[in-house]
Amino acid sequence: MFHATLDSTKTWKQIVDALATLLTEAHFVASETGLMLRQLDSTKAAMIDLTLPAGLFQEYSCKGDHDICLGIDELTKVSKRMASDDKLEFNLNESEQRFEIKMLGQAERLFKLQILSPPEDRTKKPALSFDARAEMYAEAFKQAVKDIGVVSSHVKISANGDTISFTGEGDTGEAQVSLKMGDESLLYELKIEKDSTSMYALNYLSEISKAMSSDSVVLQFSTNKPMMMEFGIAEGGRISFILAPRVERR
Amino acid sequence: MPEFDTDLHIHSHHSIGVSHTMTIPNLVNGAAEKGLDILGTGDATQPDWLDHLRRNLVPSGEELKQEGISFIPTVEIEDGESIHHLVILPDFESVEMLRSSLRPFSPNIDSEWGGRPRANIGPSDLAALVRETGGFVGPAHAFTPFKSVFREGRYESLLACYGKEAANIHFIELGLSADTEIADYIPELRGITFITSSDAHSPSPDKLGREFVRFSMESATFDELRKAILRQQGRKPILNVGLDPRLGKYYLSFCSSCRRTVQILEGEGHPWFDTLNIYIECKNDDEKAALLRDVHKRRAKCPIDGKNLRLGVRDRAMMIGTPRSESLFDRPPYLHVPPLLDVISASMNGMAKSTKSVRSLYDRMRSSIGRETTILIDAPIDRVSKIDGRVGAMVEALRNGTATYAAGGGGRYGWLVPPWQTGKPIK
Repeated sequence: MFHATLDSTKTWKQIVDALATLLTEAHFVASETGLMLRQLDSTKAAMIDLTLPAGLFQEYSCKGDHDICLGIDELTKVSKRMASDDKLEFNLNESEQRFEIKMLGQAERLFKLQILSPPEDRTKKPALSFDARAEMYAEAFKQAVKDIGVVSSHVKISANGDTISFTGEGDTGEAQVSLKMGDESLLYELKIEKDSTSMYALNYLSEISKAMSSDSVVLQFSTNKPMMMEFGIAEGGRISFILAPRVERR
Repeated sequence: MPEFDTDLHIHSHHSIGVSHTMTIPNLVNGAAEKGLDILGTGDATQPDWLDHLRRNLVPSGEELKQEGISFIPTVEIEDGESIHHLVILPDFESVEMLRSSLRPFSPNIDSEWGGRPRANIGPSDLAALVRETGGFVGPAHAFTPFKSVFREGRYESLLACYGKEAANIHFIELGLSADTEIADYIPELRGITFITSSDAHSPSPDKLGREFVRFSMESATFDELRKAILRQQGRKPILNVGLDPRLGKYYLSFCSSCRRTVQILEGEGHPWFDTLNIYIECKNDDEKAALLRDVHKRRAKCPIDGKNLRLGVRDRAMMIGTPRSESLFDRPPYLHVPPLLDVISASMNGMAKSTKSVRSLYDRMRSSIGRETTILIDAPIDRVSKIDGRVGAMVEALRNGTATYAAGGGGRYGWLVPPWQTGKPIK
């Protein structure tokens, strides 16, 4: 049994938009503590890790664990039908293998989505440690990615001293954006255990940055290792994206 | 019953990008060198080329001949949806009929460069016009990512493409990046004949006849060819000869931006890349199928630059068909053999085909053994090896299916890896 309600359609749409950046199927795991999702994209270059604790919902009850696998295109289409002042109700109909989304507003609307077969294994959380951690204004990160995108299809991110910098180069030129710690800086915090530099695909960062709905984002990375980008959603929810570095082997 | 090596799809010098040497005398010489018995005329509806055909081809019974090589009128037509179709016609009279039928819809059928005319009608209407002339039609290079029926974003079945005329489609031309196994992933195709032909733009021996079909039939006429394609009265195709699809430039899936090709490996790690390839690890077939499904939906990103990956010919056929390749009838074997010039060039570590060394060995083999098809398909290996051991080793590997390839894709041709570079001994 799974039942939950959510007052904010905006939050739900932000969640679905974030999932749609990487996935074609969303594999939720509902448990007594909340709704979770951890999945790699199909090329395994990126992972999304979503935690929506029970407290984020106005009503939440779940008995046992349930795998709820849904098509992203269908979820997106249904989300587009939500009015801003609707309240949402989610139910799992196990006998019909449907995930029900009810929109409660001026009318009461019910969509039943087919539940797909979940993958055999649940994706495990990777054991990662990071040498650099930066917390910054999310908009600054988005603008840096856009700036580098003017000339390059990849972004080199470096952290050393009191600065995090984003650089890129392409056939038409080079670009660099630096954020330095300071009183009015858009960089709130920078902790570096070891100077770090790593390169990532710009298009991925561009898509992921569009999904950032909070004011701040935390970046964590090490030299030539995956980068984790984490931000909050609603009250108590977290989304993190982990992106593999561009690794060329000769 | 006699056997005829047949290349049905070529172009004349009245198509864009074609050598000015594509004339009947040069084609006859090229076909004789190669060992072909029948050629499609190509471009039959272009008026200057049609005149050239009439002046150079001598009627002999129901056959059109020139110095022992038979010709059958053919033309490739681009329809209003930019799909290319191969049309095979009985005679010059039916060519004139088709010209008249197409003229209201074609902006270039009478132009100097109208060898491959465009007809602004749908595939079904085009097929009906051809049927009314007594000819028959099938999709040309059916799997290439451009101008083909099965290209992405176009059709996933002949029925959807040709509508009520689909029942009259009795062949498809596979194209250089596909073979029998690939086409037989699609259930709808399992009962029809596969044509392999060169789409040659030059009479050079590495272009003309680089793919062909060996038909068993009584004579080199349209009627006999029709029966052979329909597999009637004992006439039938008995061998498809062509490039291994891995040599084609659209075989592997690829990134539409960086043009690297996708190699799927077994494993669970992050993707990595080198100059040519992106290596993506999948732990089982389900994961691989999910990856290809996402590429099919244009929802899988290149790990290098984040742009959408695109399906290659093999993966596209698997996506629109079934994961298993099978045929409904006893399909002729498909012999994966590239042109002799390519084999010689590969045996000399990729030396250019135009160099004196390559050309001189080619001429020596031809003068000692005979037609190119004989050298590649029929001659005892010892005879080939006696002239050149490396070429002999490569021909043997091609014949027994142990040849090794670096697969092409994303617009980059694949290439043959010589056996001695894979540790096999040279005789």
